[in-house]
Amino acid sequence: MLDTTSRVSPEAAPEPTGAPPTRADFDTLYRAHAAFVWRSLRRLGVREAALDDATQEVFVVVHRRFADFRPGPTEKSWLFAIAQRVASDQRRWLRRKGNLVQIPEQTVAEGHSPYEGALRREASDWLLAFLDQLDDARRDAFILSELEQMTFAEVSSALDVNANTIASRVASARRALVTFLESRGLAPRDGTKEGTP
Amino acid sequence: MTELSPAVRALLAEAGAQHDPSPRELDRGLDALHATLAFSAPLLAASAVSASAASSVAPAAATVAKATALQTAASAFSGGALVGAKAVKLYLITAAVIGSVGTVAVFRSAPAPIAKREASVQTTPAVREPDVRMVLPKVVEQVEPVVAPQPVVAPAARAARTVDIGAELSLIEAAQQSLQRTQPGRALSQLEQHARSYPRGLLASEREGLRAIALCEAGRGAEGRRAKDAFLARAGSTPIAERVRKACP
Repeated sequence: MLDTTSRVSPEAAPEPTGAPPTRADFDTLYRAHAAFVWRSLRRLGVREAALDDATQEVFVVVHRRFADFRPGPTEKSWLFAIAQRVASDQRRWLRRKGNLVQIPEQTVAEGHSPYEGALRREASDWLLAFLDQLDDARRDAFILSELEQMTFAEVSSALDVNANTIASRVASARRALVTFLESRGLAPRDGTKEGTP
Repeated sequence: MTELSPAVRALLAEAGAQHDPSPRELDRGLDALHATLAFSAPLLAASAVSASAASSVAPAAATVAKATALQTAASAFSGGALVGAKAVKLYLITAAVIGSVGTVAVFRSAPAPIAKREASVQTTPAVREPDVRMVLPKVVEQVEPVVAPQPVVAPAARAARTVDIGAELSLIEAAQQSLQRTQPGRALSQLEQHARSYPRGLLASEREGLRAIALCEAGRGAEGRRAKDAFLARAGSTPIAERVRKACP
C-alpha cells in the first residue's frame, strides 16, 4: 500500500553553533508543532494534568538542541523523538511513585473539581485506553501512521526502525484495535477488510 | 494486511481529534517558555514584534512587554545607572534569597512576581524597588554566614555581576515556584537555564540546592542523591541545606 522500502536517510549532522535560537525561529517552530507535541505526549501516556509541563519540557529540549534542528520533512520526527523521551521519563517516575495514577473509583465518581473532571474524560477516552494497552513499539508506530497519517517511510525514519517492521507493527496494532472495539461493543458493523494486498 | 474500514477510520479520527490542546493552552505555554528561555539577542525586538503581529491575543502582547522590559533593564544597568545604594540593595536581595530558600512565604507572597517585577522595570528601568519587598528582616538575619561565598571580588567584576542579579533572581525564583507547584521537570529546566547563563552566578549555590530537591521530586533519586551529597559537602551549613537534607530521604 505504501512505500515500505525507502528510508529517509538521516541528514548530515549540522555544525552545532551552540547559540540559542532567535525568538522568531523558536516561535515559528512552536506555533507549527506545539499541538502535535501536546497530542503526541497525550497518546504516549502523559496524564492530562501533566501535559502542559511535559510540553514545556519538550520545547526546553528543542531550545537547547536547536542547532540540531533541520527544517523540513523530518521536523515532526525529531520532535516526536524528544516527546517519547519526556513521556518515558514521566512514566518511569509514575511507576516509582506507585499508585499515583490509580485514582479510586469513588473519587472519580463523586468528584466535581476540574482535575477530577479531567480524570473522568480520560477514563471515557477509549482511544487512550487502547493505546495504553499496546506495547511501546506498536503504539508508537500506530500513533504516527494511523493518527498522524505519516507514511511508513516517515514513521520508519522517525522511529529509526525498518519500514517493513513498521508495516507489520501497524498491521498488528490494527488487528488489536478491531479486537478492542469489539470487546467494548464499539465496533462498527463493517469492522475490517481482510486480505488487501 | 489488515485494513481498517472507513467506519473504524471515522471513529479513530473522531477520538483522535479530542487530543489537541486549546489555543489558550498553547499561548500560555509559549508565554512560559519566553519567560524561562534565552534567545539570540540581535533579532529579539524584531521577533517580538512579529510574535505580536502573529497573535492578537493579550498574552502575546504581555510577552513582548516582558522582553522589552528586560532589554531596557539590561541596558540601563550596563549603562551604569545602577550604582551605590541600589547596588548594595541588590546584594542584600541576593543574600536574602540565598538565606530564604526555606522561607516559602517570600516567594508565595507574590502570585505573579516575575511578570509584576518586569512590568515595573519597564517603567522605571533602573529602580528594582519591587525586589526590595523580598528582603524580610528575619531572612536577612539568617544570611550572614552565606553572604561571603566570593569574598574577593574586584570592583569592576562586582559591577558586572550586579547587572544580572535581577535576571538571575527571576530564574531561581521561577524554579522555586515550579517546585511549589509540584512541577519538578519545569524547575529543572529553569535551573539548567540558570546554570548555562550564570555558571558562577551569585545564586549558584542556591541553584545547586534546588536542583538536588527537584531531581528528588522528579523521581530521579540516584542523580538527586548525588547532587544532594555534593551540595551538602560544599554548603552544608547554609539555610537551604536543611531543606536539601529532607530531599531523597
